[in-house]
Amino acid sequence: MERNASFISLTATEYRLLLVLIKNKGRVLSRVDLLESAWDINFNMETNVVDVYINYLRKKIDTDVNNKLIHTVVGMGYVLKEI
Amino acid sequence: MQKTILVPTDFCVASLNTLRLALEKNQQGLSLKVVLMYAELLEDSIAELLFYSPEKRINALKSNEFDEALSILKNRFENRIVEVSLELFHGYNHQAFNHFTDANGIDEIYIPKTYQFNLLSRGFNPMPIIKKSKLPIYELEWQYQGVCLENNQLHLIFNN
Amino acid sequence: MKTQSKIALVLFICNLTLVLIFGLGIYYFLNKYSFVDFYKRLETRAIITAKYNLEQDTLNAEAFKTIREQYFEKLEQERQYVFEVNATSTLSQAAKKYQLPLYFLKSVLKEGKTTSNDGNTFYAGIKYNLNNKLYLVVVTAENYYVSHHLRVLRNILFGGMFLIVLITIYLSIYFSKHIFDPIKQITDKVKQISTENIHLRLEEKDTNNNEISELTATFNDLLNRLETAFETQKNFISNASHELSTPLTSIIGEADVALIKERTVEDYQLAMQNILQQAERLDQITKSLVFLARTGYKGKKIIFEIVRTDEIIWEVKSLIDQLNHQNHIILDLNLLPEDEKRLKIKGNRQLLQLALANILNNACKHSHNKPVIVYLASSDNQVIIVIKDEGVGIPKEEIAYIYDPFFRASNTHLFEGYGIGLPLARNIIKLHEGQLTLTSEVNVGTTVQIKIPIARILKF
Repeated sequence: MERNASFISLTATEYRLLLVLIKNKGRVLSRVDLLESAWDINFNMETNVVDVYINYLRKKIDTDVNNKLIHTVVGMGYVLKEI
Repeated sequence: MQKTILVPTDFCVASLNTLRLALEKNQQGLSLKVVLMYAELLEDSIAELLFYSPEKRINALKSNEFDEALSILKNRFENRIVEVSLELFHGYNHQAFNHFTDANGIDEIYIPKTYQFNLLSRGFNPMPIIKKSKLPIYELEWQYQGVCLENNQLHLIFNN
Repeated sequence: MKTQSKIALVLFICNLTLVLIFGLGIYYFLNKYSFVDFYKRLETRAIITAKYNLEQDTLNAEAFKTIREQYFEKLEQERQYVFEVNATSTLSQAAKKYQLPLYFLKSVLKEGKTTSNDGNTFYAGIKYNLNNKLYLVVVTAENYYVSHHLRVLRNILFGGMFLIVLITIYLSIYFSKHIFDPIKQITDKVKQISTENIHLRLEEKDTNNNEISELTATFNDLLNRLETAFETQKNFISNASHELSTPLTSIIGEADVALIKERTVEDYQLAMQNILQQAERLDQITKSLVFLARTGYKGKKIIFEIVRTDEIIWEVKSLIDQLNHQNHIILDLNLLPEDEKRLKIKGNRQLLQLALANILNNACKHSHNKPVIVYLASSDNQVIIVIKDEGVGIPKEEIAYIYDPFFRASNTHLFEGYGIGLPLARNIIKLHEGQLTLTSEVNVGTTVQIKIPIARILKF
């Protein structure tokens, strides 16, 4: 992964999650949506896992950058904004 | 914004589930100061009182597993928890408890609904006293089976 | 030199030094004090002598004399000299006349009063002014204390010290012997134990917690472990040969039966298939044995890299999903730390996957694909993985043996397996400086808890 010509290493899970977000650029995805598409099966898992991984992803992608990419939509889910 | 919450504990890993649920409930970006309280009667003998030190007593009571479970929770809610402190409560009545909450600046109290406290030597169940407090009290329900074992109890923190 | 005599010597020297310091101290300070005290007495006598010899008032002088004679004991070799001084020449004359040291008289003249000694003879002198005439009063006496009391004291001290030294020698030898007696006994007994009679144990005599009983307990513990290791070794060989011979027997049997007479192609194919199956089983067993052996010894080069535990668990999960569609593994990641660095450990991806896959497979297998929950969290310095199943559990008596290769609990004959998975997993976790603990209850379930230290990474 590369952002602004600086390398970022992602784990497989984080990569999948980012991929889903990129594919649905601009659309708000709920936690359940993300869970199903990034982990393909619907585990009886709490959606809170999504928060954890979004948090990891955010830390890697959006720190030290002015225009943040991943945004939280309160009560709805997450969205990847276009630059 | 910051608030201080009080959670009673018995130094068993399982009892930390109350704290866990309390933390999960408080999702809205509020930073929390957590006071874990253990209720215990004071020693009767003067010799014991002379050398009484709350820190030593707490260290004697808590196990490594308890510490570890607590640090798991601290790591999980790293951004939300400002501080976790362990306090001993030696009072007998609700007035003493009011003093205790005032001194620690408690805003809210979280207690387990069904959990049976595992009481060591001089410990007592603080529930009746806590329930008389005028502060907002939240009862949290979680499943718990088994007893507080000495070892290998770390996984109890994962109980839902 | 033996420890025994070393201890005796050290004890003895310590005691001797202490006693010597004590005795010499007493002697020295008393000696010093006796000087001061004696000088004071001489001085008082000199003043009184001056008073009754030179005082004009005879009545007063009489009184002084009475006091002098009635109340002051006569000192040994006590002499008093009173003489007038008018020029320096008389000083040396007087010195010659009374056999007093000249330097002493001079210093009396200079300082008004002074004290001195020459061997055992002590002097005290004062200058006395009367009617513009200068007198020197000198009292000399032999120091009774130095000559007598101190000598007695010295004798007592020497005698005492000699006695103490004797007692010390005796005690140190006695104690050093007594201390090492039980150790000698233990050594003798341990010498008797060999591989032939490894069931023998040392007697644990007293229950009080002293070092010796601790040593005995440690030895017995060591012997216990050695014995178990021996037993394990024996069991391992018999179990391994059994596990290996079963597929071999069926291969041989199958081939034998197939070769008895001519058969159809289908029959041959069936026979070959069976043989292949058994051979694969053999292959699997030997492969896992090789793995077990490899992980059992440190020093083999295993490449350690920084890995994320959550990733490994995800990978293992998808691996098991492929192999066993009925599995019901639930990942509970609610307690994942906010900082993903806390999930990073130093480890070998393949080995960790193998370990976790083994444990998870066991869990799925022995619980008839009931839910198996995997929890992941991290404390301040450890990543904690807990795997909880609702399976058949392990009988309490057998928990001690679950890490023995080829051991299978008594309630597992319904399940396939050959008992290498768990020992292998444990070896792998140990390689990562982690801990694997297992708690189980029959028909309730088994909980496996794995702790692996978090990698300390300074730079990101």
